[in-house]
Amino acid sequence: MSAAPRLGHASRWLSHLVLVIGCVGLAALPNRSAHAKPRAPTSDPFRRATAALLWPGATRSFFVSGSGVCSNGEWQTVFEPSHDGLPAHEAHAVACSDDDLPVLHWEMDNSPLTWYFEAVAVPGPDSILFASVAVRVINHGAYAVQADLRTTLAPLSSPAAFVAWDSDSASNLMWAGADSPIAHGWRESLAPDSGDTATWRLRPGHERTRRYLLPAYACPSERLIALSKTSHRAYVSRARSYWTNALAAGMQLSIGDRHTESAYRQALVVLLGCTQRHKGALIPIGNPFQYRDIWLRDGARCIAALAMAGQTSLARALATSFLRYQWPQGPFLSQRGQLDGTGQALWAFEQAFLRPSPDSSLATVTNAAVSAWRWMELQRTSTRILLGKMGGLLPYAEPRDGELPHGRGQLTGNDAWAIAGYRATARLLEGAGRAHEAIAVRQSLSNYQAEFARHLAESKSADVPPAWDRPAIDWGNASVAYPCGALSAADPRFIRLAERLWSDSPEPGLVRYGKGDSTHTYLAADLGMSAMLTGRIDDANRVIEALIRWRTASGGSPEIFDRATRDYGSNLPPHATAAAAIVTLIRNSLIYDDEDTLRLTMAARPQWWRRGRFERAPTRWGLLDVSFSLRHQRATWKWTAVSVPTILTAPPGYRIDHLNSPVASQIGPRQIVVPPGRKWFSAELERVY
Amino acid sequence: MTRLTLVAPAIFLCLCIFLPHELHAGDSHKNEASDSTRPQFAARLLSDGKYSQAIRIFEAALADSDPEAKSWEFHCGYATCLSAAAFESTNRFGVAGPQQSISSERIDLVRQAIRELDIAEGLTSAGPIVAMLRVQRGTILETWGFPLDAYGCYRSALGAAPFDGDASAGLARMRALLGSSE
Repeated sequence: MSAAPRLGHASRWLSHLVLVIGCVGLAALPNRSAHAKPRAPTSDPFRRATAALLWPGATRSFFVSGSGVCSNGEWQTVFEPSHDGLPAHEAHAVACSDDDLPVLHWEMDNSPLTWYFEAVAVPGPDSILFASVAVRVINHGAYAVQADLRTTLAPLSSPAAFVAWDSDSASNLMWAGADSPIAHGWRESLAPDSGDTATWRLRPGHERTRRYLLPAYACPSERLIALSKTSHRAYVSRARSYWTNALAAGMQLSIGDRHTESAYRQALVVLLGCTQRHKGALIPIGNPFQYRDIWLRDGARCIAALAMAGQTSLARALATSFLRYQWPQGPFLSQRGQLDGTGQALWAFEQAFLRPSPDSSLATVTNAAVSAWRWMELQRTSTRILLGKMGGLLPYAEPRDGELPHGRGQLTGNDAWAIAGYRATARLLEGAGRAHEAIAVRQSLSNYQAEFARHLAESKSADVPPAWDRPAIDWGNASVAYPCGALSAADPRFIRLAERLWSDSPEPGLVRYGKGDSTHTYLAADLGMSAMLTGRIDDANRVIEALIRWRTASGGSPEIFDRATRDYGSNLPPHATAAAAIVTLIRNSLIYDDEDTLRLTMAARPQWWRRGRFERAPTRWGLLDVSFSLRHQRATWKWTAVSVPTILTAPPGYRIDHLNSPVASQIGPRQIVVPPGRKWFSAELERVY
Repeated sequence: MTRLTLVAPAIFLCLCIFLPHELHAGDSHKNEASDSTRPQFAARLLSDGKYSQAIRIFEAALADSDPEAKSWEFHCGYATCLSAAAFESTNRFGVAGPQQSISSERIDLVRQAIRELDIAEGLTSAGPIVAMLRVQRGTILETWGFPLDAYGCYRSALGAAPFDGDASAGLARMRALLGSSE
């Protein structure tokens, strides 16, 4: 962490004052601080402060806790700062940098000392990830104290925060040095006989800094020593440069709302970081820690979000890895009994390969999709023959997961996702120019939707049940409207489902999952998206706000947490699907292209209208640049012309008074539809509240 | 369905096929040297639950074009091994998890197992053997959550051997689970 950028205005004045009083000569002392406390990291809403150091494609990540532990899942480095025998307090937050990049910083208070940590992950020349950590201690007090920093390499504690999937039992943990050919960490040399503790006598205002390099895997000592020749600042700069470029590759968002822009960027960092290179392919992982595996249900969300965010080549690479999940008879399945995987894989293909224009390699995924569609048709035909009343749907499943941890059931979500898969197949075929086949798939899609509606009408549920034939946990039924399109988002049953789930939630906007105050994060996202599509903007915004609020200081969302205790237990953040939900909801608030009409500013908030702008937004009709503003009750939109009609939505709190051009039509109090080819439009508005 | 129910019948089959008769009497201390063929050694590893090691032996036999590698028995044993390996678990610092931590690797093993069963079926025309191979495929599909595909396999097994007990049992089980009145 660099002190200078974090100094507040007043602190800089103080700093100048110290310099002016040069006669004191303090500025000439080594490691002299400016008596200024760097700005405290953003607060963390959870009971514990944790964070992840990620790198795209890496096979391991670092878990960082505010208690001073940095773990690679095989061993941990423990920082124990103290002064005069008094241990420092745990950090309240482990935050990312102010520009949302994964340069972590945290503070451990040890009054009058403060210990400032900064950590960044970068790959070495051999691609193995390592963390560069700098620890700075400043004496903010008026008297001198002894500062001690004990740093040890230790086996994982029991129970471990997480265990790396490829971990070996770590033994004989060694710092890099002449006596150790293989090392597990590098640190600046210590005074003889100091053990593992660096000790300084710090006078008021003085500071000291120490550096560490922590590899993701044990490696030769000389390699770490060679890496130590590069400064921590240089590693921070390298990481910052990489992530800045990575984020710049996608859609650029500028909506004058730092809070939302940060959430979007931090979620993208999580999505980019939750990838792993495996046997030459890039795969999406659910989480850098305990869920370092692929679930089609999670991976599909990540792929779709990356595709919407303009990370096109990455989304396509990840989607291509899904081909490895296709079974000989056609379906896609990653985990035993999870039949929703087929629809999810096809949806991911369609999301990734059709934006901003059909990819040249479309034929491969389209053929795979057709094979999967045939399998689903065969399943439905078979259940018609075998199951009678429950026919026409997919058969029972035993997913051993959120929706049905035990037992078997015919799950609503499986059919909803299958319907999404049918639509995706039709779109892929259309994109590939195979119109006749697309017509056949669309006919079967209509039939399936009708079958779905019939079963729903015959169900005893007042809303949309999680399973057709037995009680189950609400899960896939939350997705039946968006993204599956099995049911309209305006369907009364679906709205009742959303109301039921939200009314029971410990946290407005999110939903309860399981017992007590256990609260799920991303499970609410599809409810919010469906609300957005039907103009229930307050409901949609509640979801977005809750998702943004319940993140760690570095922008990681857990999957589930206890609202009462604010703890996520061993289900550590960041969860990739929650990050995908944030990206999807924010992006779709501004630009939505999942139908045959482009929608702009569907849920743009009032503050975004001051100078809202986004560039290189990928849609089914190409990359678009869009700006929108509200001045003197006149809303103006400018956008790259598209070949389909565009629906423009005025800001909340206004209704359309009159249109400034006869070419458009008003289709609701806040909606206007304009014909294809337009590049801008304006309308006079009237305030309603 | 547990892993044991998936693997046990197939392991028994492999042992019957590959292991020398004296081993059936319970000589559990035989080592590789005492096994005259690699499939025999692989079958022993399979019976000991050392699936990953057994796979390597099968792979080596295939690479070297061992005479046994041209038999349906070989491919059936290999398929058993592959599908069992997909369920191998391990304990990492007290945290249990699959041996193959990346799910695509597990699915790859099962897809390969199904391919091996296809090859095995192409190497025999004996009805009972064909039925047995189809039952094995049905069991894999049933275990992984494809009840209708498994149903089809058991039916098809009965087509090859109308009185096959395993096929009949599998079909009856699928009918019950699917809630069919057929």
